Amino acid sequence: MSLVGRFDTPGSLRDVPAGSPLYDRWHATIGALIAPSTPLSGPGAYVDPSERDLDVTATRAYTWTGFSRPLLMKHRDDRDAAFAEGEDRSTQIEYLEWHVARDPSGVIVRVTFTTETPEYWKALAAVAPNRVVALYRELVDPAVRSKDLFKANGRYDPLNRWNTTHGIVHYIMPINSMRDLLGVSQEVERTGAALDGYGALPYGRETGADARINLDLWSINRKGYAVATADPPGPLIIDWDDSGWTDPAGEPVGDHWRVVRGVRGAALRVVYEVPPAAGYRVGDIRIGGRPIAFGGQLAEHVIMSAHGVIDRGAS
Amino acid sequence: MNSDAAIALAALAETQTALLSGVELPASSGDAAARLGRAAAETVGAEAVAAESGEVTGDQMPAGSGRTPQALADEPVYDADAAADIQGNIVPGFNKDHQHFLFLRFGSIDGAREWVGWLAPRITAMDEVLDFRREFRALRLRLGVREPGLSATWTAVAFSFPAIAALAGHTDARAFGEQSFRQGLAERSTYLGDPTDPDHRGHRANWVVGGPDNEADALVIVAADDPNDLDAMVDEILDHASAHGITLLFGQRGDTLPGNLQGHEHFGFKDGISQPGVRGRRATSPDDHLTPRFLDADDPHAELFAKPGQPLVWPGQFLLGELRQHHQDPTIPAAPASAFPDWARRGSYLVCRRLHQDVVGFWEMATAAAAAMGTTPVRLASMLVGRWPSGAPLMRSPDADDAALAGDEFANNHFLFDDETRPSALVDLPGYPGDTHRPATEDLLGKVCPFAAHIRKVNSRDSGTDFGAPADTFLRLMLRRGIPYGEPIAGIADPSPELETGERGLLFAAYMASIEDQFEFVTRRWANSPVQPNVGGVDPIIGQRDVRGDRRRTVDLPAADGSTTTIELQEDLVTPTGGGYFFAPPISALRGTLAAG
Repeated sequence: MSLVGRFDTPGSLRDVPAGSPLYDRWHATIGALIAPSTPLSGPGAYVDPSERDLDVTATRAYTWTGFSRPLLMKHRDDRDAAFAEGEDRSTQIEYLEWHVARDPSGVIVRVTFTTETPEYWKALAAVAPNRVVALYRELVDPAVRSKDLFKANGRYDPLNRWNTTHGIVHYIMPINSMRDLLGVSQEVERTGAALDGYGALPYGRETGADARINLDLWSINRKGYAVATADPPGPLIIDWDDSGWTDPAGEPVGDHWRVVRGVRGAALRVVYEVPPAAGYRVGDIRIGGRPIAFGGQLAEHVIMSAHGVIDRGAS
Repeated sequence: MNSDAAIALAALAETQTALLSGVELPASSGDAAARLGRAAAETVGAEAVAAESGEVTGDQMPAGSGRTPQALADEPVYDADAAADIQGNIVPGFNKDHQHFLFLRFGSIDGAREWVGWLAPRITAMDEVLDFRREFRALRLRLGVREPGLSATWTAVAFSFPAIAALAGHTDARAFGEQSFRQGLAERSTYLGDPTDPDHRGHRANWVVGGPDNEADALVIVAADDPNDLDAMVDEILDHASAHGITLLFGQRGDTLPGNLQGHEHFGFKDGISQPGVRGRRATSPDDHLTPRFLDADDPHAELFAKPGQPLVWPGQFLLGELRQHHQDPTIPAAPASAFPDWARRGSYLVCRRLHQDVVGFWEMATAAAAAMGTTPVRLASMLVGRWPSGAPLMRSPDADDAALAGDEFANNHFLFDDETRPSALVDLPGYPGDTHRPATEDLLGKVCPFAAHIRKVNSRDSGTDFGAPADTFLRLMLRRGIPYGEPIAGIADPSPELETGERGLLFAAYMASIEDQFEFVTRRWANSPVQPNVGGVDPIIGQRDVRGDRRRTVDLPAADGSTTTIELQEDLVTPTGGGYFFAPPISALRGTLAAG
């Protein structure tokens, strides 16, 4: 009997009632992205937990930072340049994308983060288009219309304006997807001969997320362990760090994080917005003494995770 | 202090650690030190001893042995001018047993400039320190003694951003791209997790120096083997400072701990074992590396390490304008930093933190947690550090302290976390019997060395981190030059109440090329975070965390039965009480721009 009977939806969301075909479709979507067994580096293997019985003897959280590592490496001497470039969704490639809302004066008033994948929303749109419209209205703007989200042929448009220029619901960057997350998880160590993390250098990919997942999984495989995604699969926001963030009076800011989908510690969608009663805006906050001018300054302090299970008994 | 904590604390001085890297020196030739007419140093720091003994053996490599160290073709070569320009506390580091940190405030700018010009020829350069080490090791070999009787007094200086602006002008000051340096430590304090409660001793407003109202313009570090020499140099510097309108905001004497605790910090643990090795060499000879190389070229990691566990880092990570570490490949250099005025090339940022240590509190916490987990206080405390008090790493000695391992510098830092550690191929080391200590096995899941253990938090070694492959970790390393201050209590049986409450701690000092990408990165992202680089709690030794006044921190520790126990750190065991962000200029700038304006 396999460890996972049916892959659950991201964050175990229940956007449609039990019994909806979404749940079987989602399981099939995930199953198609995981090979039965892939040796990555050594005698172990990355396996499909829906096809393998696993004796889970350990779990592992793979954590990384939400802001683009490639941008910080590109602009080592000019952090502001990295943040400025990071406003472009096409640069948000650590499985965290965000949308910045500013007031008429240009000051940031809200930053919305998402870890949701296009695959899930396509699957949802295929079985419950009206629910997709309703969720967009709830999450982004009541003005959303069905024709904004669906093309003339009825197909869902992931690049609709409410998920790009006017808001955010799920990833649009091509390398942010469930396919990519599970794909990199099954990537074979380049040299084929690495005996430790140093032996895997130079490592080609620049994102923190890919390195984190690859290096950890390769090491697990070298032990001869079987490793698989935890259920449900997918990237999450595991934590954030707003220590050292101060309001205009120089006092620590209140807790302005609001989890909209998922839960604290395993969030899919988070909004950072200061309540009107506080009397200041996001853009009035200073992080370590520096005023917030870009959403990426917050993303730098958002910590991502993906989760795995390990069977140390068999590969 | 409870009795179990007192017993554990008192017993810390009982372990005598070998200090010669496991190397047998040739037989002593008697009182040759006296014949040389040199004043015998009373003590030599344990770290320096270990480093020097390593250099001794390295230089004794037999010609034609066929076992040679590795150096990359692009590594920089420093001619005499360059070697005389770089401050010696940056590379290779003073590492003296007695040091005095002088935090100074300028009066008139003209007076400050004159004083800088006076100080310039008294600042110790890299070549002087390297030459001293060379002479030290040669004498040691000739005399066959650990203490060959050389002594020196050295001085370093660094300036705050406002001081740079005053001395060199605002245009030059603005050319420094390091935002954290421009802001200063006080403004970055709560970003580093320091207390936000103004009533807390660690709040920046209460610091003895470096707070919003008492930031130092200059930090002078004087280091000596002989305390009398130290005092004489300090007096001379302060006399001249006073004559130029400069006042001493705060002075802090630092000394290595005595006896068997030499080289240990106040909690009782050997400190400073793991330091990066700086790539490059002097032009004097092809093997005059800034960091001695001991790995044979045949070793799979010979291009990455100077000796087992000591990574080689491109000098631009510590010296502005030099080739930096590449973010993906440690064997190729990246372009130098460019955001600084021309005269600042080969200077380095200096982060100083005066960290008060609650030693009694630490051991009481360890005692209570040990009782809850069914282990000993020393073992529990060692889990928090990742090393036993002697410095022996848990990864190589999981069950008990091992003084012999701790004293073997080719073994005491030779371990990985995620995979088994394989034997290193070393160059021929006469007198060294080889690394015969228990090898380190993999600890992928943090069952031996907890993920939160201090040494694992601040240097993940071979592991991937939240910010990249192991190549990225090379970018985070710093050159640490700290020293304890205050009267020790570790190793003291039945201490008096006054001694229990005495002021003691660590003068943390570290050089780097980017405060934000090195010191602040390691502090905030790793030490202070319960989930970075791995889920498992904060660094229980240096981790600070303050979320809207809530300073509770937890640490996950593996229990003997394979389960995990979470302990809560109720009190602040390490409290920041002062410091500053500074820039240590090249010596040429002290004679030029900074003195002349």
